[in-house]
Amino acid sequence: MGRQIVKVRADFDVDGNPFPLKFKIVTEEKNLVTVRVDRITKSDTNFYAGNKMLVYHCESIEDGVFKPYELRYEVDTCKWFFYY
Amino acid sequence: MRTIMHVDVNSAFLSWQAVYNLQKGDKVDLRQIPSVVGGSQADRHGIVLAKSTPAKKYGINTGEVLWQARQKCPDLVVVPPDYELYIKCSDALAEILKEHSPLIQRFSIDEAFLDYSGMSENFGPPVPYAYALKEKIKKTLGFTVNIGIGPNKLLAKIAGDLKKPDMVHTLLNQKEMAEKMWPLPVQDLFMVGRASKKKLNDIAVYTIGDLAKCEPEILKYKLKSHGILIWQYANGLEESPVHEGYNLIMKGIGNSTTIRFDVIDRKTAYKVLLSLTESVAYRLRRVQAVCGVVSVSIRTSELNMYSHQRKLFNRTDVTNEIYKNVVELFNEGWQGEPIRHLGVRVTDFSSSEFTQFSIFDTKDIVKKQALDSAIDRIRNRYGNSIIKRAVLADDQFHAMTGGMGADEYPVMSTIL
Repeated sequence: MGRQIVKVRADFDVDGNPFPLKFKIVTEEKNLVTVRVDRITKSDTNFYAGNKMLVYHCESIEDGVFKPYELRYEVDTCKWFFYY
Repeated sequence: MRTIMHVDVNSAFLSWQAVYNLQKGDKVDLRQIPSVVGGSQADRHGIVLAKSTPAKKYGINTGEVLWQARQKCPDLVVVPPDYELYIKCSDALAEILKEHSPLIQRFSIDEAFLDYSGMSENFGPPVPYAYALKEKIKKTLGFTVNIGIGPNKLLAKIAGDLKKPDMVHTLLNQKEMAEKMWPLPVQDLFMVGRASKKKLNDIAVYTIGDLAKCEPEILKYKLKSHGILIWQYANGLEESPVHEGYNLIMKGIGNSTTIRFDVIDRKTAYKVLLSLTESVAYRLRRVQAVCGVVSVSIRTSELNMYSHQRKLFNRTDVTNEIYKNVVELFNEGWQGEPIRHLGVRVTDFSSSEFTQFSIFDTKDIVKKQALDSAIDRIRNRYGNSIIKRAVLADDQFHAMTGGMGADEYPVMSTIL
């Protein structure tokens, strides 16, 4: 599993929960690509090692196929991580 | 009868790091491979602080030097310590325990006592409850704990240490004590260290059971009042309450450091001492105390250790005042051999709210206090190294050396 810290645009609901809309990744060819989050299939919170992390299982359409991946939001640092 | 639970994290530093790494997306679980938490060898902070269970199988011990550990297991993975993470994990654990009992005591960074007395009526017997608690911690925080259940803190603690990891043990009555605790070697008893072990072995006391059956008079003759204490412990007699919060009265503040190279000249030693004094004095002011005794400890390259201390004429919290005494103590104490490790410690506290001025005080004490408080405020806001002494500007040593309050939650504690 690879990991990347990414720049994310997200919506926050009135309870303060963020939902990612789109994010920018750096590809292997060093290009900056914007990916739209088409579907969030599951979201949960983990508290491992006392570190609060919001985990989103997401899917995006690429060439007509849904590709799954994970976005995680580290609450303490306000950073988004993209796991692929 | 009381019911006390002792919650102890299994190889705490290592499993916390392992869980954190897994959360970050690492594939390897440090707990499953031979691994240790240890300082950097290049800086000579190279000892094993915590080890994984597979590392234990290679015979690696906590406190061992890293190169020795590597000889025993060449593929050993070494990860650096991260005290901020440990405090975060410890706080998260305490947070969960607080949901379960109104009365918990954080005994050290990875241990806590939980008072379950009188709760059985509403929450069921203690053993299933302990299992549920253990599982909840594992599920929520990702690391495993041992829970020991006993009628007092001592027996709960000994029960928790019986077999690891991820277990619940009980030591609830005389019968269980005779079966589980008395066959253990005597040094497994709380408060029996190397020195006591030797004295006890001399009078043919090898197990906790031997000690429990010993005549207290003989123990008192051999080990003074400590003999009576450990005899009571061996018989499971201990009555201290689970006290809430962590309000052990602080008796001293100290910082020490192992230097990257052997120091052979005064000038370099002064720099290290100044850097240590900066942190000690900062922490002293943070707890709003003034100190009456300053001490300096020196460990030579041959690992001999000695220290020198002095009672101050007037209590102080001024960095420069403490440093002046530190330097004088060092000059009086140092015998000229290469130095590996230096420490500065202050004790004999009283509140800094009111202090007595003296006619013999150094000039401008109020001005110096104002300067210190200004520096503290700048450091709180922008970080410790934002402002430093000119003599430390060559960056050979940090502006402040030593941990910042990690010992507010000590790794070990000896008072139940």
